[in-house]
Amino acid sequence: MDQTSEDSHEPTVDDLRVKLCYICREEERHDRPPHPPTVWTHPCKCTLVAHENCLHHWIKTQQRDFGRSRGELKCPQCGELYEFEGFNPVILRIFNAVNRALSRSGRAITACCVGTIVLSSGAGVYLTCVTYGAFAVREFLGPDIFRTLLTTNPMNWPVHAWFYLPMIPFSLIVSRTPLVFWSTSPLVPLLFPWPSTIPVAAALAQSSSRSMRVGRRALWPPPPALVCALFPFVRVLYGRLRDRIIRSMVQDLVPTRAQLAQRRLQRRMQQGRQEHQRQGNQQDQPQHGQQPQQPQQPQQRAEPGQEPVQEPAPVRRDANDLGAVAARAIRVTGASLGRLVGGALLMPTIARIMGSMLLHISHAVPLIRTLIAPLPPPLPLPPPPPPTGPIGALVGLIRGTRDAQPDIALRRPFGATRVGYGTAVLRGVLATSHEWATSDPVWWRNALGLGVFLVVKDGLKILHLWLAKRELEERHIKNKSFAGIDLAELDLIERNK
Amino acid sequence: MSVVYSRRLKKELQEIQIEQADPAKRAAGIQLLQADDLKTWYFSIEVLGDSLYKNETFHLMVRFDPEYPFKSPAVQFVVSDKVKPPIHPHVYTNGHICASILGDDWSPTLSVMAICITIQSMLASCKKKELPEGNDDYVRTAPDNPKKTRFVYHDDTV
Repeated sequence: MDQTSEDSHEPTVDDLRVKLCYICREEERHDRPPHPPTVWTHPCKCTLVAHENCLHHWIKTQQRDFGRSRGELKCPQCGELYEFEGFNPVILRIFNAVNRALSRSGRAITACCVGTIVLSSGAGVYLTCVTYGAFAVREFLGPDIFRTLLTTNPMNWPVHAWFYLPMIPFSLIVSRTPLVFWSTSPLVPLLFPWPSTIPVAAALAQSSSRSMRVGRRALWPPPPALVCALFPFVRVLYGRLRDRIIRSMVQDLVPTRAQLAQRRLQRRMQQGRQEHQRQGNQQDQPQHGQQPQQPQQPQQRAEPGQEPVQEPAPVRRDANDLGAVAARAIRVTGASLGRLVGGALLMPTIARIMGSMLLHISHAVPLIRTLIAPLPPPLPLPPPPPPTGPIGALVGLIRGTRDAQPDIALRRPFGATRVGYGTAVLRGVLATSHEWATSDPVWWRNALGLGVFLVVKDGLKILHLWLAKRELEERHIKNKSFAGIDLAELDLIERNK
Repeated sequence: MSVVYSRRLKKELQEIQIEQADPAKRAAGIQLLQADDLKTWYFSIEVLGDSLYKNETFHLMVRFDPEYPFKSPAVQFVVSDKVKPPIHPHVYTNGHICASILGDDWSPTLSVMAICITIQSMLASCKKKELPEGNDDYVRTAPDNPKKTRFVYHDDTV
């Protein structure tokens, strides 16, 4: 090798006497080149050399399995970065760069999409709930007071309406859930916030008379807050009464499968005894609260001649009876869920229909007229006001035409800025706005109507249960004669005619 | 690339057998036990000199797939009635070894004998005999082949 002309001729991999591929460990001697010749490469600063094919394979494995990019590919011994040359035009590098950037931003876009979907579906649910809440309030309070209180334009609604309205469907459903023993009253969200709300329409029409009045009107119908407070007690008392009636009338309400089977067994054996002993007057008492795992019992009954043990039927069901708990739990699962939700959401409409029925009846029955205390419809409303609620304020802000009125709307609830806290609470409980106090108490007759409906419904349910129970108890299998069968095949008793 | 795989393994085996026959070349404490095919080889490993594993012998199982030498072989200690794996912070009781050269840091410059020597020195430098953290959880869920485990190499000192 000519060391003086080093620059013109540096030794390369092709000048090695023996080449050893560090990947496949093949040797190649310069004096015995293979056919066809293989391409060797020396990609780094150390002594490692390799077949170009082997190195390509190694690099591909690294890129595929460890996601290493070109910048990370280096010699395992000296750490020198491998450099690449050949077909790598600018356009390919641009494509690669763009591709990498897109992959990176792809993750962000995915996150954005998921976020948007979650947010928009959440907003959809929220708006649906608000819409239903407004519908429920309109149904329950009557369209007149609804127009006065909230107006049909959501822009005017006060801030708390946007909290209360979407809560209404949920609280209605929860109020029907049998698992929540302290069930909230369905009336609370429907009734409580609205009497103390300054009606939007009135406030817009005459902003001077914005004060709250404490029940100036007579004590009948009672203040809505009082109704809300008393409702749970009425509900619990009624529930107890109803359960007692059900227990005493239809004692084996919702029998468990085991109880049913036990009873059927008892009846069958009883019939057997009747045939043998003609003791038709033994009526087996259904056993309640008695667990089927009493092994001696069926054996006793199976012996003919032994009288069935008359056990006193328990007067009331054990509260911890598993069957009853299961029956209660079943009510909130499966298909009955739809029934529960649908029934809950229909409640305001049912209340409205029952309320108007009460109104119709009241024309003929003075007692009901006194009870529901209807008033003639209020004066015609002023024309629909411009938007002023929080949403309206937002819109106004965007438009840049915001005036003082939205501030009043925001500060308004209970008007408790200057009075003491206790007075404010008292007002919150008892106060009704002037318009509420003087309007036709649609809510009252609707509440009464709903109560009537629930009582009638429970009555029908009890009747249904009672009938079903009667059917179960009176059921006999029809006894048929041997008509059509060859009598010679049967071993019959000789009877004297 | 199965040509590379078989040619390279045959060559490695040949070199190992030559080394084993010559006490001057042989790596002390490492012995080829069995290499009937190009799929699974067995070695015995002893740590000579002063160490926590004095007078203990371990068996190493090395399994190859056709991606060798582009991918590392599957290396683990044999667990049987006769031989037990060493108690070491990087060796699980099922014989799996957590060593970066058996995963991300593998390169074709390494060889089966290089792996054996690395593992031998890993044992020789051990300061305290203890099981790896989370050994029971890992052993309960570990795949048969340690290469299917994604180890996180966190300790470069041992």
